[in-house]
Order: sequence, then C-alpha cells, then structure tokens
Amino acid sequence: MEYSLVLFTTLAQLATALALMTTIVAAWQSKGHIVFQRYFLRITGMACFPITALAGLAAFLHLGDPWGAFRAFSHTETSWLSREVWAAAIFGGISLICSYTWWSDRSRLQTIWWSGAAAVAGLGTVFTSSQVYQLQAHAVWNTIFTPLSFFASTLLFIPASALALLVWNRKNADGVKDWEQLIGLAAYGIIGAAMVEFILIGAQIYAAVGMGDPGLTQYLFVRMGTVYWARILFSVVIPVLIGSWVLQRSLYSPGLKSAVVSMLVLVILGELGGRMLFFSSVMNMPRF
Amino acid sequence: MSEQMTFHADLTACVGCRTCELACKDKQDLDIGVRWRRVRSLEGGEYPSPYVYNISMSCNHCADPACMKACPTKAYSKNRQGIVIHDKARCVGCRYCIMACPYSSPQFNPQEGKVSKCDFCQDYLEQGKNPACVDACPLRVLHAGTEQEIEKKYHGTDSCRGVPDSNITKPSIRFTHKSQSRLY
Repeated sequence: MEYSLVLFTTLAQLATALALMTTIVAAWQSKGHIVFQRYFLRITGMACFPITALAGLAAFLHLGDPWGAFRAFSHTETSWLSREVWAAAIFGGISLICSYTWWSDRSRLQTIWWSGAAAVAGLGTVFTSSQVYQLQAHAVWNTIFTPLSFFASTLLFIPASALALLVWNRKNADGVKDWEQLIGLAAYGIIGAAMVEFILIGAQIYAAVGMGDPGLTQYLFVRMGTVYWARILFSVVIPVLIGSWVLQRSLYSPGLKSAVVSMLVLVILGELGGRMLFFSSVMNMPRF
Repeated sequence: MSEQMTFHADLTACVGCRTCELACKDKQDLDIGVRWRRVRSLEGGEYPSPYVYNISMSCNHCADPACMKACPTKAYSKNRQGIVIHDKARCVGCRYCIMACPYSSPQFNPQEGKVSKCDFCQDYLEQGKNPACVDACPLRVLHAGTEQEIEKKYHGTDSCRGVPDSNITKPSIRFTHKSQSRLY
C-alpha cells in the first residue's frame, strides 16, 4: 500500500477545502454578516500551510531518492506528475503566505485574498493529482470517476470543516440570525456532499464489477471489506446523520460540538480509507 | 531515429524454462527481485481442451513509450536504434513509470531507491552480438533485430491474447502465435 501517496492526495484536498472554506466564511464576515471569533477563523487559515507541508513531506517520503526531487520539475511537456509537482509547489508557497497573513493578523482583505489564491492553487493541485492516475495502462483508474472522486473528497471536507468552525463559534454567535442560516447551509452542504460521495462509490463499484475482473471485485469488497464499509460509514452515513441532526433545530444540544468535531475526524479517516481503496485497486492487484 | 530494434517471441516454442530471465539477470548483475525479463504463463480453456502459453517479455522499447511520457525527470529517452534508455542518474525513484507502463517493465530496486530496465544489451549490440536473453534461449524462442528484419523474417503480430492492448504504446515486439494466443 502506498500510504505516502494516500496521505499526500488526501491532505492536499483537505488543505484546499480549508482554504476555500476560510475564504467563503471570511468574505461572508467582511460583508458585515455574522461576527466570528476571529481566533477560530485564524486557526483554520493558519492550518492551511502545515497541512500542505505535511502532504509535501509524505510525497517526499515516497521517493527512492528524495534529494533529487527538484528534477521532477523538468518534464511538464508530457508528464502529469511533473505538472503535479509544480502545482503542489505553487500551492505550498501560496499556503505559506496565506497562513502567514492569518498568523500575523493582517487586514481582512489580505487574508481573504491570500486564502482565495491558496484555494485556487489547491483546486489546481487536486486536478493535476487526479490526472496523474488517468493512465491508459489501468482501466480501473482511467475513468471520469478518478477526477470526480478527488473533487468529491474536497467537496466533502468543505462543509465538514465549516460545520466544525461554526459550531465552535456557537457561544459567540448566540442569537445571531446569520449564524443559523450559515450553519443550515453547511448542514445541507454536508448532506449533499455525502450523497455525491455515495453516488460516486456506487459508480466505482459498478465500474469495477463491469471490468469483469473477479479478482478485483474479490479484493475490493472482500479483502478490503472493512475499509470499504468504514468509508461508507464515515464519509456518508455519519455526515448525513449529523447534518440531519443539525437541521432538526438541535443547534443548542449539549453534545453537538463534540459530535461535529468527531464527524470531521471521521470524514478525514473515511476519505483516507477511500484513497487506500483507490490505490490498492491497481497497486495491490496482480499486473501483467 | 533511423531504425527500431525489435524483439520476436515464438510462443509455439516457449516452454517457460526461464533461461532468458537467468541470462538477463546474470549479464546485468541484477539484484534479487529485479527482473528485467520475465516469463509469464497464461492459462485458459476448459476440460477437455485447456491450454497454456508462455510469454517471455522484457521492456518492449515501444514506439510511443508511456514510461518516457510519464517520467517527471526526463530520465527516459529513445536512442538512434529506437531503444528506450533509462538514465539512472536522473531517476528519483518515484515509480510513476512502473505505473504508466502497461507491461510493468521498469523495475524498482529498493536498495538503490531507483528504477532500472532492459537496455537491449546495448554493449552487445555494439559488438555485433545479440542480447543475452536471445542467445541463451535453448529453444530459439527469442530473436532480435530491426523492425523491418523481424517483420520480414517472422511475419508476427504485436498483439496477443492476455497481453495489454498494443495500441497504448505500440510495443516493438512481434509474436508468432499458438492458436489460443492469437487475438485476431
């Protein structure tokens, strides 16, 4: 199992989602809507670079000769991996500035601008990462489901992290109407994103079974069965349940904060599991 | 590129003795687990007519090599004879070429942290000799030559049942088939 690649791709998607979510929430706040404790938003903004750096470190650990990694910048003409290295390096650089602007508590405009730039660079990284695996040599990867599943993970992380941020701001937002609207939006968002995940998981099963490879089906759904079911539970069932709970006007339930934070952790674990299934569907299978 | 060096494998003659693998490992002094040439046995059919055929394959020095396009460090190149050359000094051991190659030809050596692959025994070619695998085969399964020479002499096809689609990379290998291995 290529754990370093599992970590790299998932963490890059998480950092992208955090940058995007921070941009949206900070922009919302700058319009004079909901008053957040800037402390929480700062933590989210600052988290972008450490997560990207961790992703980069994981990618380095994958290499047999990490000291020669700079050479991977040199073949952008045809190599999607080289393009991914560029995209990830740009994302890392912008994330560093983004985290710095939040850490040094710069003006709202600066923090929003740099978070937005990091989000755009992150989306570029997610796209190039997905193209790296669209290889003709592997029919199971060479489908539209590869980029869709990469973006679906990012999509799921956005409302999951937004919900956690909003719930953590509850004390500060008591009685603020915007907060309830925004948290409702995040709850709908997480239910929607979880449903997209569910549809994509189903489509991937259909595609894998459609390949007519009994070994692949056996591997994915029997040998990796625990990871498979954990992914459905963590990335689909729990987000839908928590999202529904939030929508049921249980905003002030005593256990909501810990439930939402646990959900974010479980969603991250679920997506790590999903990426493990993705890589093992080719790399752990017998090849020609 | 003036010519394209090509292998020919006669599937009617191969018994899967793996002498070619051994000769390759011996000549190139490859570490344990690194196999530039591999013999695969493909089985099929049902009683009363099961079948098996053996395919000896190394790097196919494809006309459109996926490894070369995928490599982020430009470690791969094609020389004048159409041989796909791997420059170990540029390799960072990312293994993306292994993922991209339909035939799993590049081999990763964990001790070195780098990939390596068949170079068509270039040093032997320069001396006018055949690659080690070709000369070692006791059943004369393998042959090597330019594409024109191989096609003129053996009239083989580049596609084979159970082998990845030749349209992906246009491999420089031709097969003489057993009836069961013929794709069309």
